[in-house]
Amino acid sequence: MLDENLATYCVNYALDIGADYCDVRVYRLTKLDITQRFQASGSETEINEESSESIGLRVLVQGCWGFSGTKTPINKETCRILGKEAVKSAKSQKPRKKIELAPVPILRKRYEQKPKKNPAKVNPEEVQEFFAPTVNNFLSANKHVISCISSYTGFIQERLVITSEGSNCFEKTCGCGIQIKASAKVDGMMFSRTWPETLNLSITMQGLEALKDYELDDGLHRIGSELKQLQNATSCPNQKLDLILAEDMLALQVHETIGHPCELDRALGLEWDFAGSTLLTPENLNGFKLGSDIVNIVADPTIEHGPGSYTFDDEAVEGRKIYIVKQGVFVGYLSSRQLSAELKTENVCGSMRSMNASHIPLIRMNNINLLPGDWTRDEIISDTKEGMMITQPSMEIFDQRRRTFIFSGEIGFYVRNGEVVSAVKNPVYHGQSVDFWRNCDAIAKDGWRGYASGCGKGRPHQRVLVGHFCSAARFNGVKAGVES
Amino acid sequence: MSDVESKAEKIIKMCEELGAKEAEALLYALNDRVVRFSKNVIQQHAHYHEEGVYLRLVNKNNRHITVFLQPVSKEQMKTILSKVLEKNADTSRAGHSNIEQPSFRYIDRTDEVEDDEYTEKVYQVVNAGKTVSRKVSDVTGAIFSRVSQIVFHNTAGNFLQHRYTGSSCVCVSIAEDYGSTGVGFSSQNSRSIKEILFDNIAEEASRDAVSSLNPQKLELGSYDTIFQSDAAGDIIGSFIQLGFSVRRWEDYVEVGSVCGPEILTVKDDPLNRETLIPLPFDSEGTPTKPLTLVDRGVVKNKCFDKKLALQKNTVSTGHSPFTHDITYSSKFFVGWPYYPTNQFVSPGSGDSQSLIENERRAVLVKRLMYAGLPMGVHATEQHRDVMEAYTMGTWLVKDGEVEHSLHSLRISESLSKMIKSVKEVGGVNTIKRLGCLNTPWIVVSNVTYTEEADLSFRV
Repeated sequence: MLDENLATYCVNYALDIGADYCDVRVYRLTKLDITQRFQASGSETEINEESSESIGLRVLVQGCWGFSGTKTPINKETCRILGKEAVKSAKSQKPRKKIELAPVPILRKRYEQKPKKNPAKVNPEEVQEFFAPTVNNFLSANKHVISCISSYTGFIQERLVITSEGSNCFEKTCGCGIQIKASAKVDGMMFSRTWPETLNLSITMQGLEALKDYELDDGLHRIGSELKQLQNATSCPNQKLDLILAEDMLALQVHETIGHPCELDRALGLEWDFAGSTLLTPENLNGFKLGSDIVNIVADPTIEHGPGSYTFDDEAVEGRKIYIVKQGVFVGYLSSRQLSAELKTENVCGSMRSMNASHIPLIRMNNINLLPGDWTRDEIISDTKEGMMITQPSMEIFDQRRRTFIFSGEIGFYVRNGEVVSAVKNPVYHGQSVDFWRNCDAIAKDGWRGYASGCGKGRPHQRVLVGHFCSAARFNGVKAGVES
Repeated sequence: MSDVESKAEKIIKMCEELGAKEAEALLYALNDRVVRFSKNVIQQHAHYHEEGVYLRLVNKNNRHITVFLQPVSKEQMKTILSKVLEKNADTSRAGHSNIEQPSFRYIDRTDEVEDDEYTEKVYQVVNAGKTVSRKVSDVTGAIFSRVSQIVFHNTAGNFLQHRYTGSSCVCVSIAEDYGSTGVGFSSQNSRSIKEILFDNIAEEASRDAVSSLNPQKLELGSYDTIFQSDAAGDIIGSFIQLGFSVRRWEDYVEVGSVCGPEILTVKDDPLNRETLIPLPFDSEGTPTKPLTLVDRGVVKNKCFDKKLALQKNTVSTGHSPFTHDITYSSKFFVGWPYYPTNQFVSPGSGDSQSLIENERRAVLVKRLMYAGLPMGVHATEQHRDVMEAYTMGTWLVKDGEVEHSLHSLRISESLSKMIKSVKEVGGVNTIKRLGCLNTPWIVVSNVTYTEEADLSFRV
């Protein structure tokens, strides 16, 4: 358990030396990463154990922000240093405009996830044994595969947030995930296939018991076969077609063209200096038709096992589900107390998070989910006259307002008259975000599940885990290939 | 700054007491200051302190283990190390026996800047940026400074230490004019915050923002392109990382082959005091030294760490990358340092004006944003020689003059082809120090553009 007395001391000390408002976060992370590299010549394993504690203090003094955070050892002296630094930096400012915070209820929460098996305490041999026999058999049976890299990550994170307004929240969560990337050379070029298809390991917020659901044999068999198909695959067609995005690819599309654009700090111009801006500016809220009528997207930190789930954010605001896009209309932002006040909305949805307590909280995605539609995945394929299905993101680029984009996947499948007819190597598609979402004409109801992504933002750069629950969907008239 | 040196000694001693056959520790301590501003408000005025230790251990069974710890109590550290030393891992990493120098100290001067000085500098930037034109609606940016210490210590008695400081200022100005939005960028990095010219940065960003207003359409296709230092650094830095770094695409370039024109020479010079992050040793404790990567267009050398050197029956060139972010430059993703980390592109002769005057019809690009750069490439990752990137600060050059601004354009081009198509390298006065890269302007023939993006507020 984290030291609540120390955090309370930190709050009181900051108030004593001049803070009008303050919040303090204390995090503890225990993480285990195991990477195994398999080749015909043998294998090697790398084990990384991470154990860290961090604390961060944010203060408001006469309407100005100050912050200090550390990953050095935490004690009362540390708290006093943080207090002095944060208050001093706030006091050094000449307020041209006072920062105000939207009011929120005082929150007292205690949540402790109880996994059957602790994912950060697993015996490495257990993980090695989970992968090694199957992967070695796979390599023997698939001579075209040059190498396989298996990864395991397991972690436990404790978070404590205390505010000078009286909120006091503690959460202990855990997660784990695995991934295998197999690679083969085709015409001198390396091609990869990843299993399970994902954005950043297949992290789920569960204990080690979650691994029993993975069918390693079947997964490896499929990617081995797909790597073989890539040897004779056609190049990406350079034409307009109906595009079917597999769940993982759609998760990336949601992340980059909906998730980031609906961050209110971008919309209000606070991120121009690094991350850029957004096409979803405030005048578009509650009226702009961003997608077709079947497009419904929510931000939901409450979903069970979601990679971006939490019970409260770093401002001690309770996490709750909100609509971002409802029947195609843009209706909601991810926001903070400061920016909700600036936008004069009381819709504070609890989206402020930091990578660890020593970093400042920022508006971040939680689980940005495309809600299921009425089709089955098979129905979408059989209803497609000429199209391409793409899976496993390999590259993504977009402009500073995220109006235009280009994405590619590890493998594509050409679809003609309702049937998958051939594999496509280096599949690429591009377009305008708004046109793209407005041309979404089918969303699957089956296969809806979460995909984890490590999301970067901020200065210093912060990487947090976010999630996207999706099922496959189809988009009409999308440009595939690159015109050059 | 905490006492990282004595901590290193204590940790190695603890490892020995707990039965480690060999141990090496790389400790780092960062003291960062970041002030971010926009809309006339300091949105973030923050102090960051961080320490970490990467340990490479060999246990009594000759198994190799790596551990990353961020400060925990002595007792916790003891528990963790006892546990991991029992583990049965094997990374086949080479040992530390080939460190050449027993001790090395490299102390740079440190900065001491008070909070109110940062505040003054923010308002200096905002005021200077807004003075350029009434069309400038906002001046945003960040001032960053770092005091950093790296200590390497191992059971063979080697003790290496490096201290450095650095600062950067990035400024993005926004200009508006009848529904058009212009975005201008400028930045400067230095080992000392006192050397940063805040007024100049703000004025340059605002001038660029105003001159980016009312962009005209460009027919998509191929154009000769003048890349200013920021963009040139991304192109050459990506190429070097992809072909030469430790995490490289093995056969992307072959030693002895021609990869570019004769005017292109690239060296890694980690001990050059002109670079922003001089590094006397790498993360495995191997002393660094200058290495020519490309000599007049010919691939000369590639980089090795101990592990890769062992596989290829050679020796480390001192290029094992640091796991933590050692940079303080103003790149969009600061967590993406280029490797090797101190690249010098040899300058040509022309100044920026003459590079523009030489072009009849060309695109002038200030910076690349959201570039799909081949970062973190591992020998067994999917190969991709295509660089996808959006430009920020884009103008049309016609008959030797900057004619008008263009929308942000998307480049989709073979990286190796762009390097081969470098037709001019700018002179010494076009060089910008970008943290990892010291790059002049370059001119590249026939760069392919596949999309344009309007940055205005309208949807």
